[in-house]
Amino acid sequence: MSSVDRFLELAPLAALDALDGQDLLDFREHLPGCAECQAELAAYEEVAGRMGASVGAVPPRPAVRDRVLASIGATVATPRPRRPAQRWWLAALATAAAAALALDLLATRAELERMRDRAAALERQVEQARHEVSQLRDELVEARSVRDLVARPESRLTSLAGLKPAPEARGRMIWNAATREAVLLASGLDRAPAGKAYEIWVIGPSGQPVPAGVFQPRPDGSAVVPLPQVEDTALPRTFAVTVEPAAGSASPTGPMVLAGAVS
Amino acid sequence: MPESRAHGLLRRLARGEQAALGEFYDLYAGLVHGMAVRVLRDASEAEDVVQEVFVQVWRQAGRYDPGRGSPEAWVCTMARTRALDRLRRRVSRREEPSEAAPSPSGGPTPDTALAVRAALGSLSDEQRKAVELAYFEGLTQSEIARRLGEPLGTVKTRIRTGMMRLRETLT
Repeated sequence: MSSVDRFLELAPLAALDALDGQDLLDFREHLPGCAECQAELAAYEEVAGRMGASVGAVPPRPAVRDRVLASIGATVATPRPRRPAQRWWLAALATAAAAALALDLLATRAELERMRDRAAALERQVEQARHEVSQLRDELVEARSVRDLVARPESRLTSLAGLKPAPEARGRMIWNAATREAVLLASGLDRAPAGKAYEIWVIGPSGQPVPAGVFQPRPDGSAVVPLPQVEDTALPRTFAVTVEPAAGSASPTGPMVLAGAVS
Repeated sequence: MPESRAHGLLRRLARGEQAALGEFYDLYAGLVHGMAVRVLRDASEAEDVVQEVFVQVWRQAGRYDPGRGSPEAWVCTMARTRALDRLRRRVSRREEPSEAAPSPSGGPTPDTALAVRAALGSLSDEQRKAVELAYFEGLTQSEIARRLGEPLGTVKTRIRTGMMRLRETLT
């Protein structure tokens, strides 16, 4: 598939800040060099911006307006009655003091703004770190589920061989008939074509393939996919992987890339 | 939509005209507040968002680029970002909203709101749900997949096709 197509497909998700994981990393890396994707992203950001209008206006209390204007210093001071003419030097001194004070105030305000920007930048970094932690937590949960499954004495292993469309592909299914848990470990898979994904099938006594999850391999062609608990994992005969539309199919329609019979 | 008026106000704001902020506020405060209420469901926090957004408008009016989008989309994005920041902080502190949120007023609804609502209404339920979880709750594609118990690929497709549909309808 053309790699630009993949990124064009990610643009609407990026506009909602909905990308994560590898998609997010790949998109960030690709975007600066691609005018087409930048234009696409800008168009979807406008759509996202307009979506906000759907909620309808809820006027805030009038006091909020005053608070906003006060916070930028827009309150108009009530004019004071004029004093009779004072000595000129007193006036000059007062003017100079006021000017110094105003300069001071300006500097303080600028300093405050810099600190605010810095705080905002730090807040963004914290947000990013929090995001990475949650990703790592997900990966840890995945790794633990594999480890636990492997550790159980009654878990079994079935090898899946790469078929004609993907001769390099290899797979191992670790499965447990008692708990219906299963994890697919695969390697040597190409990236699925645009709009497609790999779908796992469990074929039990009925001979009818049961869908057991859709996945995309990592960039290095590997994948670790915990399967949903399907009834046929109690007595599986065959495990298989086919290429299907990204949303998944109810029964296999695309070419089979991996298959393995339970001995 | 008073878009040309908003452009004029933003130019005045960029020159430091304080009076323009009041006028800009009157155009968009309801929209910003509505967005914050929708995300946070808390009236007093939503008002804090309104204040933050308009102070940000005041400070960043000079950076507004008409080529990048409408003023309305610009303030909406700011309101959403700020509201979601608060929502995430609240989630991380496990706080609940402190009071019931006001519901949208029965006042005059701008044409755009109706147009956008109609566009959202034209999506399938699944598409709308996925897009709204991303937009109003700030969830990522994997978080949405987990929330809905659907495969990631399915969720991505729903969001993408939903957004494509909105784009066709709104532009």
